Amino acid sequence: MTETKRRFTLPDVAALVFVILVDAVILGVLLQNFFVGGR
Amino acid sequence: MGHRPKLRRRLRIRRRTLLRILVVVAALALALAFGRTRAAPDLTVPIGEIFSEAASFAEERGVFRAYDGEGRLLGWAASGSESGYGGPMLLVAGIDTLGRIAGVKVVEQRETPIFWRMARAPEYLKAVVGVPYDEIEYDYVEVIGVTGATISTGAVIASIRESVAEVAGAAFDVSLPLPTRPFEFGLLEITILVLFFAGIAAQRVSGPLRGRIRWVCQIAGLLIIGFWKDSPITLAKIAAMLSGFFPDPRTSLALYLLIAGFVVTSVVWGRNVYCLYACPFGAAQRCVGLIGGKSLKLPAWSVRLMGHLRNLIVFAAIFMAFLTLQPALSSYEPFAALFSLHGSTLQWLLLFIVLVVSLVISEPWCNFFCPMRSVEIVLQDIRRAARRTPRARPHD
Repeated sequence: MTETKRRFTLPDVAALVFVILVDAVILGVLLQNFFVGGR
Repeated sequence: MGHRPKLRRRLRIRRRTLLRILVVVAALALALAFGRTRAAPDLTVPIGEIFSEAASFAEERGVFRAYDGEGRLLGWAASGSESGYGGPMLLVAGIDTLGRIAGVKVVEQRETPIFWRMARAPEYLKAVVGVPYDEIEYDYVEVIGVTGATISTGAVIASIRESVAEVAGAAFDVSLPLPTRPFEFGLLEITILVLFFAGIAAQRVSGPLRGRIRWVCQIAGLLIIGFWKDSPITLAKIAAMLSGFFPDPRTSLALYLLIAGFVVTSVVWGRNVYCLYACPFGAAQRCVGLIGGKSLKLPAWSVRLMGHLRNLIVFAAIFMAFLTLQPALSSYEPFAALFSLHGSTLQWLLLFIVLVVSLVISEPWCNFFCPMRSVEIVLQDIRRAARRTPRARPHD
């Protein structure tokens, strides 16, 4: 089989880590707001 | 005939977009309707906490009388409500038969957790207990030395004043004057107007001059809208207005100017002047970017993914804000951490990540995570729809 698909490169891995990390923190902030409410 | 496939394709996109809009609007409307149907709070509960010996209550024109088990009058109580950061705040103040404050309870408040903590309301409310009703010091700074969260502290004070005045009138036949709140128009409001006009004017010039105007505007925005007043547009403020909680224009004129500028420049000029020229957080990232050189570009798939995730998060946040009728809870931006140095551990972490990444990627918050970007996309769609409709008509 010839390789037609683009390989997952280092920038892809870095981008994925970045996306997951920031969105997880944002979700964390929202969940904290809703469940703890700071009170 | 040559137009047909194009037209059909355009129609199909429109139908899909329309469906998506309908689903989003219907879900949000349902959530808001649910939030709005909740019963009004029973004021005898907080009044019972203020007068712990109370066994029965009688209410006349909004003023409650609290009686003990033997029918002796313990005191009076009334509620006061004023717009805070995320919507109306409801307080109840009780005054005993000697005319002293028996207690003040917060019945409802919709402030952002961070701002509510900054406002230190419980401390202030405790400090006024035992004070004669006509000798209350309506000054946070005087009583407990707070200077931040001015909108929240202002709302607490105005709500107490209102409830105390109500009781004084009904119980002691004393008319306490309520302060008139003048329009706040100062350096912040002037700066906002100047930044918008400069931003619009900058669209007419090209080359390095436009870049220079943008830098000057952004630095002014960073210092004045950011570090001095900490009043950038946030999702919480948008969600509050969508919930029907409009802040007092006399004390929140700056917010109205920012939102009006954002909407008008996005819809009329098609260039959102707020984000480019006024937003302090965008400016902060650009400054950090100067140090790092911001040379990295993210893969296209991740940019698309982040866009979808951002829209999803904004939808979820507004949905929850409507459902709970607590718009301030939808705020996830790390702005207060940077500009007021107040934030939860997670907000500090978010700020840290965004600023570090700003070194190598151009304005990551603006491009991938800012909820205002989702709002901008909606406004651009409205603009596009408004412009496309008349052009499509000749082919119908």
